[in-house]
Formats: sequence, C-alpha cells, structure tokens
Amino acid sequence: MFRKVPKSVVAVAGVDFTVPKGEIFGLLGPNGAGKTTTIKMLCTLITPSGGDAFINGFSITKDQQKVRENLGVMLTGERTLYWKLTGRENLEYFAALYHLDSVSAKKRIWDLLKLVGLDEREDTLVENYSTGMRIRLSFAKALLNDAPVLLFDEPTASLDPQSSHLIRDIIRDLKREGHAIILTTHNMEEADLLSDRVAIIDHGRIVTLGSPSELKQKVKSSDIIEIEARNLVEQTANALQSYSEVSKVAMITSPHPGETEVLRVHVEKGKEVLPRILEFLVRKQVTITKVTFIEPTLEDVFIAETGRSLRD
Amino acid sequence: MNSRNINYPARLLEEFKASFLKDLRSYVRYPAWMVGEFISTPLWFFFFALGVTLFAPVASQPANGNGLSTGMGYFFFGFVFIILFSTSVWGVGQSVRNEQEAGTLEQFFLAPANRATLILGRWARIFLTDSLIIAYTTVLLYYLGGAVVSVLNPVMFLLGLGLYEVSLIGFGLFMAGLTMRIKAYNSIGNLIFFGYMILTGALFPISVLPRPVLDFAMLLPFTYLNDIMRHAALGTPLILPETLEYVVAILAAVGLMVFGFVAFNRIEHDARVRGSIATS
Amino acid sequence: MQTSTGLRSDIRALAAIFSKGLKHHLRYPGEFLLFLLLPFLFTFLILGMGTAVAGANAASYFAIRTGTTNIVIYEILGGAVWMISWLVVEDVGTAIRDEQIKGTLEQNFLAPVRRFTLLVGLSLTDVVITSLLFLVVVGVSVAVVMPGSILTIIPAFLALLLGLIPLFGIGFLFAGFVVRFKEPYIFTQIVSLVFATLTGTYYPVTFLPYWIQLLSGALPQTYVIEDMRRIVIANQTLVNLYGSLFVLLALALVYPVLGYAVFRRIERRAGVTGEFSKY
Repeated sequence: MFRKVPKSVVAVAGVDFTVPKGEIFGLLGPNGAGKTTTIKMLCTLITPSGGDAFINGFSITKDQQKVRENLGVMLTGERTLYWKLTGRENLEYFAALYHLDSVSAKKRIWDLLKLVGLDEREDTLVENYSTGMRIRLSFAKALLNDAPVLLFDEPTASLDPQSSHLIRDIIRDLKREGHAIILTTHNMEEADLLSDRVAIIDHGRIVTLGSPSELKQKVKSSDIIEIEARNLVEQTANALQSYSEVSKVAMITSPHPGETEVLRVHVEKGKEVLPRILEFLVRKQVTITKVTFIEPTLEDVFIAETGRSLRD
Repeated sequence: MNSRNINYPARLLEEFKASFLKDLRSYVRYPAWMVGEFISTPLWFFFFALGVTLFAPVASQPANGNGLSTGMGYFFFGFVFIILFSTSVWGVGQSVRNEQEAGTLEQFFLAPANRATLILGRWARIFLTDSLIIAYTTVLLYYLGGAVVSVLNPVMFLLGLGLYEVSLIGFGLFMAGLTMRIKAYNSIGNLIFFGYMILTGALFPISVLPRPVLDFAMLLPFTYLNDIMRHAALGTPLILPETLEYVVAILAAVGLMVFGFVAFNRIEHDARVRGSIATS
Repeated sequence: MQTSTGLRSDIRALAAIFSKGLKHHLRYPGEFLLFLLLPFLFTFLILGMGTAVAGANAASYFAIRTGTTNIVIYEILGGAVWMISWLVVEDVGTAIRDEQIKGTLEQNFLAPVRRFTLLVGLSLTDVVITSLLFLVVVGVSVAVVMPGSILTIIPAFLALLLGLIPLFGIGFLFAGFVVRFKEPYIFTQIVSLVFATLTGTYYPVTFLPYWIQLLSGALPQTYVIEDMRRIVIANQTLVNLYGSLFVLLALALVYPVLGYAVFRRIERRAGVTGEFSKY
C-alpha cells in the first residue's frame, strides 16, 4: 500500500588525489564503485554535496565555466553524439560550443578525424557508423579544444583490439604532450598498461593508490594460486578462509552455468599449502581442471584490499 | 586551442548558429517528421474549420474588408496562436527531453556554452518551419476556399508577434527545465496545452466561459497576448482599455522571460546537485 | 523440455499477449486518460468556436445542416469513434514498431507463435480498451444530456463492435507500413486525422465534395458514426440500419484478410533485409 521512499546513497566519499601534467591517472574499480560519479563531478555535471576539486587551478564548485574550458571529456557509451549529423558536423557543432574559431576548427577537425581513422567517413551520418566508429568519434570530440586536462570514462569499452590499441597509443601521445589525464576503467589490464598511477576505488572510496608496480609489490609477499574448477560454490570458496595460511580468497564466477569458475587464493607458503587446499576441494566434490601459480595483477591488489574480485 | 580572443557577443552568435544548424539538419534528415508536420498541421486546421462552419450563418458576411468572415478569421488566427504556443510546450520545451533521450544533453552541458543558445537554436528553427507552414496554409485557404487572409494593422500585429515570441521563449525555458525535473512531462504538457486552448481565448472569446473560469482566464498572460494580436488582425474588441492592455502584454512578455530564465537555471542547478542531467 | 503445439498453445499465447497489452495500458494510464478526455475537450472547443461564430443562433444553424439541435451528443459520438479509431490504429499499428525500438521485437518473432496470433492478441486488448472508452465517453454523455435514451447505447455499442473488425484490419495494414517505413507516431497522427476528416467526425459526410465521399464510403468509421447518431439521437433501431450494417459486415470480412496479407508480405521482405533489428 505504501511506496518505499528510496534512501539516498553516498556514491563517493573521501576521494582525494592529484594529477600533475604529463601523468595518466587510472581510476579502477568494479561497476557501481563511484568512478563515473567522480568523473561527472570533476566535469561539473554533478555538484558535489561537499568538498571541492580543481581543474587547472579552477574550482569545480565556483568556476564551472572555466573548468569546462580547461577540460576535454569523453563519457562512456555510443549515444553521446547526434545520429542525424555526420561525423564532421558533430565535431563542427561541438567546436562552436567550445568557442574554436572557424578556421582553426576546420583544421583541427580534419586532423582529429584522421587521427582516429574516420577521415574517409567524415560525411557519413553517425547513425550509419558502427559502435567502434561512434566511440572513436566521441574520443575525437574530447580532444577538440586541446584542453590541458582530459577525462576519459572507459575509452576502449566496446572497441575491437585494433581500435583499442589505437586509442591507447593516442592516450600515450597525449601524456607525452603534457596533458593531465584521468582514465576510468574496470579493465585492469588496461589500467596496468596505461596508468602511471592507479587509484582503486570501491564503494565510493579510494582503497589504495600508487603506481601499478608499487601496488602489485604489496601483494607479492603472498603467493597467488589460481584454480580453475567446476561445481564450485561460494560456501566452499569461503570455507578456504579457515586455513590460517590463506589471507584472501575470491571467486570469479562464470556467467554460464556448468562452465569453469576461477578461484584466486592469496596464501603464505603456497607450495606447502596447495596439497591441503586441493584435497579440501576434492572432498567437496569440486572438479579441478587447472592450477597455476601466477604473478599478481591489479585484480589481486583489489582482492587483497577488499576481499572481492573486481568482476563481482 | 579554444579561442579566448573571440569576444563574448561573437561567441554567443557562434553558439546560436551552431545550435540552429544542428537542429535544422536533424529536422530535415527525419523526412517523415518534416513531411508529417507539413501535412498534419494544415489538416488539423481544415478539419476543425469544417466542424465550425456547421455553425456559420447560412450566408456569411465578411468583416471589415477581410476575406474571411469574423468567425473564420477568429478560427484562423486561433490556429496560428496554437501553432505558436506549441513551440513552447512541444518544441522548445521538449528540446531538453529530446537531448536527454538521445544522450547528447550531457555533452552540451560539458561545454562552456551558454545554456540559452541550445533553447534559442531550437526556437529559431521552429519559428522558421512554423512560418512556412502558416504561410502555405494561408495559400491553401485561398485556393480551396477563396478566402484572403489579411491583417488590419500590420505594425501592431508585428509588435504583438514580437511580444508573443519573447513570451514563448521564456515559457519554453520553463518547460525545458520541467523536462529535467519530471518524468511525466507529456501528461503535464498536454494539460497545459489544452488549458491554453480553452482558457486563453485562442479559439473563441473568453466571454463564452462561465464566470469563475472567466475570472481565472483573465489572470493568464497569454489571454492578453492572444487578444492584442487578434485585435490588430481583425479589429476585434479588446478585453481591457487599449493602452492598459498593451502595458499588460509587455509586462507579461518580460515577466515570462525572466521567470523562464530563473526557473531553468534553478532546475539545472538542482539537476547537477541530484546528478540527474542525463535522466529525470 | 517438452513444448506443445496446436490450438491450446495458441490460445495460451493469445492470452499472454492480451494480458501483456492490458498491463501496459494499466501501467500507463495517462495515455488512456488522454483518449477519454479528448472527445469532451474537442466537443467543448467546437461548441465554443461555434458560439463565437453564431452567437445565440448556433443551435439553429447547426440544426439546418445536421437535422438536430443536440450538438453535444452529435459531436461526442463523432469524437468518441475518432478516438477509438486512433487508439486502434496506434495500438495495433505501432505495437510492432514499439517492440522494434525497445529491442524486443526479435525476441517475439523468435518464438514459435504465429504472427496472426500476435496481431489478434493486440486487437483483443483493444476491444476491452475501446469498449471502456465508449462506455465512459458516450455512456456518461448520454446519461447527462439525454438520460431517457440511455438504453440506446446498447445497440450503438453493437454497431461499434461490428465496426472494430475492419478497423483492426486497417491496423494490421498500418503495422506493416510502420515496420517498413519506421516513424510510426507521425504516420498515426496523419492517418487518424485523415480518417477523422473523411468520416464525418464533426460534420455530416455530405459536407464533403462527392469524390471525397467515395473515399469516406470505404472507411468503417463513416458507417459507425452515422449509425450511432441515428440510433442515439434519432431513436432508430439496428433493423432500420440494415443497409449500412451489411456494408460494415462486408468490410469486416475483407479488411482483416487484406490487412494481414499485406502485413505478412512486408514482414517476409523485412526478414530478408534485416528490417526487424534496425532501430
């Protein structure tokens, strides 16, 4: 009879970081961690309920217009462009909104279309572009005003490997040119590959911050065993925590029932503990298909900090 | 790269031009909508005109040298008012909702562009297309019905039109803000639109309304804006003494513009605080 | 998993489609409320405009041309049928396009349910909705304006039901065009307006030029509106109207078959061109 009044949710709290010129700063976290909310606050689409941030010296709460002039932003998704305009027309439109004069805008647009490989499709309507082409155009749009600070929200999501490679190369070039770049992703390999420093964010808070190698070094003291298996359930995985040598366990669930699950176990003295872990799993009628000792990744850093997989 | 040597008025003009061009291109590239609008708008007119002629005296008298009888003249200009008013509710008002649904609203708000230029660009395109529709409906009326549409006092008519457009932009800004705030915009839009049709003397004099409703109609700004335009076109009597009514109309136009700007800015600010620019 | 085929499974599928359609209307009542209000609104507008044009003589000028001074019921009957016709064309015609936009059309077409069942299910939902619309709009108006004639809404309703069958056929035809040409809403508006203009919604069909009246004769709403007026205002019975009812029956046999055939043809072509997955 009565409708529930939704409680307000704190999306982001206590996020503090600085990004100097010429640095790629990665914001890594699972879906719902607060990455996009952070980006949207930085680019003034959301007003923070407390605190402040500065883009090239301008406050996001007091100097919003200046902030927008100093930012180039790519938001996630392919529906950020006008489908009934061509690629070139879209960029012309946004160039005007960013106050580029028409002569420099023309040259800039041509250069950007060439850079992202859309020069031969500049006069095609965006509705006839593939998903990858739309994302590349969206990326080009973020570079229009050559802003000192760049925000990229999942820039390679939905891109094929070739296009992803292209975008990453461009991002590296932008870093060399001296832009300060913030990049959000839930792709840990990308964060590892591109970022000078990474902040891992979970439930709206930064849980750890540092260069990828520094962060991985933190978990290097443990061995990380990756076990691929079938018939693995959450309770069995959690029961492994009872072993004193096991510091963290995370299960990466396959979306397809019947396929192999992956267990990542952080342990002291892995080689000694492994036989007991395997015996335990066999007793629980788990079918083990592969066991590997692996080098720590940012995923493991996340697991070490939160006890959960990045993919949960 | 962004040119700080472009002065502010020039920037606004560039933003407005870009917004207008963007809207015009998108409109023309949905040919079904464009053709549909050009067909359906005069069709609405002729359909209702046929219904109204059932009530016409058996031999209708043209009034004041105008090719249209007073009744049909009333109806024709009522049709013009409705087209103009729909600019506010469904044209300008929907512009923000359209951009939200397309996913492009956030892109606009990311840019250091004046918010009003998005609205003004849409308004300008609609003004252009509406003018074309009204013009060719007038031509059709001549060829089908032999009636000539003329305006008794073109100067005052244009003044009235200017005040009307200023009011429409202001009211449209308010409606545009409303789309950022509420999901059920279509229902509210319909209510406002139908309220306009019944209460502001668009299609028939407000004297036809029952007393309490008439009193409410007298409080609405568009009642006077409709009235002064119709007076200039057909010579119909004004609701208030002439000077007073023009003063009221000017105040209404300015008031609606100010109200619209304030409301839109306020709602936009709230949307940023709630993080709901992309959704309502 | 075992699945069943045959009449029983078709009926279950029909019931599911009907139920989904009904839930849609119940969960989006705004649209239905609008269709309920519009006949009253347009009647009031025309009455207002008519009074502005003719003053105190409005009713007598009206009577000269229509044969009745009962302006409200005359217009309400036309307006109600117009809204019903609009609703049917929109619901049946645009349902397919709506599913296309949402991305669920392919899911529907993947299922082993006959297209005919799909369209009939949509139509059945509309029988309920349009009946409700009729009862509220016409029933309330007659109860208020001509309470002594309240029972005339029963034969009027029967005339409407007969008229709905060819109307659904027109809806099937429309559904096919919408799949092919997209942009359903503007098409719906134009088609509904053209129908309203041709079928004597707010004036006698005889007002129109002769060649246009020939087109009017092809539309079921023309007969439904005229029959309802004769039943409710002029107190005629269904027996008196056997001529137009016979025409309605003929249209009821032809239009659904024609409409479905066109829809299937366009649908087969769409299967080749991949039209269904295009936004």
